[in-house]
Amino acid sequence: MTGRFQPPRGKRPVFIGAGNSPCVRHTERSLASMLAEAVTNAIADAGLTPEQIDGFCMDPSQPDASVPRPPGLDIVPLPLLMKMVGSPNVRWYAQNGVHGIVGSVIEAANALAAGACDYAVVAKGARLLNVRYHKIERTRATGEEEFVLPYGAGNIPPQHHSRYLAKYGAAREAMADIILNANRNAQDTEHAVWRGKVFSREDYLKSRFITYPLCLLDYDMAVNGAGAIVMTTEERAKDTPHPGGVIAGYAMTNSSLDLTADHHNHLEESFGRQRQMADALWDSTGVNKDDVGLLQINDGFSPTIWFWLEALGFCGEGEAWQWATLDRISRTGSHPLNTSGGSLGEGRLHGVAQVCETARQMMGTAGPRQLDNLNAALCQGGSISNGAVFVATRE
Amino acid sequence: MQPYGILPAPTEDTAPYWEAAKRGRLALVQCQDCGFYLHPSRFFCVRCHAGSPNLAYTELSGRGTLYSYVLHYETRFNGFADKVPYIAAVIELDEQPGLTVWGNVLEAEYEDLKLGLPVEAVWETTDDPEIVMMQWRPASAGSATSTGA
Repeated sequence: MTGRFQPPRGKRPVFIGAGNSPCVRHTERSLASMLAEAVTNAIADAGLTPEQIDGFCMDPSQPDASVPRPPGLDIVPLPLLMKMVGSPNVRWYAQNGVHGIVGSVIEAANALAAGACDYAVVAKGARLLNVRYHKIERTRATGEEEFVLPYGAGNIPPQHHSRYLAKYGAAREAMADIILNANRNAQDTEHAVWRGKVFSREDYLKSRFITYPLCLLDYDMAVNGAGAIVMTTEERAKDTPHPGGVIAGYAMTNSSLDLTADHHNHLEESFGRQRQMADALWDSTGVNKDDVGLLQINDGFSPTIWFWLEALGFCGEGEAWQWATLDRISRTGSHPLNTSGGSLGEGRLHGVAQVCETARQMMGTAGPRQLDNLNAALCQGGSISNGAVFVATRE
Repeated sequence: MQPYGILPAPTEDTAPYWEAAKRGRLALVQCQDCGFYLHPSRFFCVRCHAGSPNLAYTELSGRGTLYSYVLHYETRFNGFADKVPYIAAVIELDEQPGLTVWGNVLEAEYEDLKLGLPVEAVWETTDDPEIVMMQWRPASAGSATSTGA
């Protein structure tokens, strides 16, 4: 089947490099320096120099925009990153504001396919403020928040999860397989924040509740760090050390369908637009989902994985909690999931784990985590109910 | 749930909601063309997309069912640290499928809650005489919506 995404001959976008900075709980370093390190590593991995990079894309947004952030310390506008990296020949760049780093990959793929640039860098990072993460200390709320924050409420993921469990009679304990898979994969990922700390099933079941039904281990660990990839066109990729993975197509959720406001979106509404995104993905790529041998799915909150597995059609509605077993999702299973640990294993870098690992697996540079005979990888990012997704194929 | 650590600062657009709340009534914006309720309020109807929005606050019954509910053992919200564990819930209002509001469920234990449980609004006064908060409790069979603050 031919997909809708059809770049001109030789212009199909390909991965050629990936790089990370260290990923740590505490640091004095600025986000700008961590991003620059990740980008520099990715450019070197691609066998290029910064002078050859002529395209950049990044989503600079960070979770709590209400906290003032000096540019460079913990928020980095794209032009600042370009200055840090030192690329005098930039001819295309874009700052995307939705869909995070997966959205950036899609922008870069379009730019390469259109001939807007030859070598594109995509990056993303996060740096924690010296405050309790996301703490809301205001005494007044206005606008949409008037109807949410006074109740000490507004966390959507646990609400979605609570309804999912009750609606489908699912056992929250089944999430242990998702958590253990992330933790095991993180052991083989050099920069993963959980490397060296091995969980047992018992650890998950005894993990303290934060917002029931979610416990501490259902949340990704807030960290400081960054990751980056380099992409080019098929015609240029053959001159680089280890090109791999052709962007076969992509899709994004259609938020215009929402009948509710952000704080008020709910499980059924989310599922509807996720399903529509899945249909758009297979239409764009022409790929059969049975050919997908690697799943990289957003996991800032563990239940997100269950929801997307169902929406993408890898299992039926209400079945993911029984489908996503370690046997099936581990690196030796039929559907390897988040093979570098995802955010739950590497740390909260908002999709960086998924994108960098997709690139590495397709380039064959995933080291001890490398899958054999990988024909296609699916990479999804975004929030619990909105997002974007692409598929990379071997040919 | 009182005292509240975070109180609303109403705007011109939301003032009618809070004026109704002071009277122990729930009022939301409704499209006068197609009847669709919009919460929080918007400047256009997301269902009929009418070119000249014809929106007005309309009173609802203050009755609904539990759509989802969680138990906060930890909280990031000002004023809630000494209330844990507390229930935060999403209520689906009787008037329209998918029309949901946030709230706390009072007068109930978490273990007694279940999906679809009928609930009714109760109204709590706050330190701010201009603000009365809508809260929820399991509906008593055949009872009218409570209007007592």
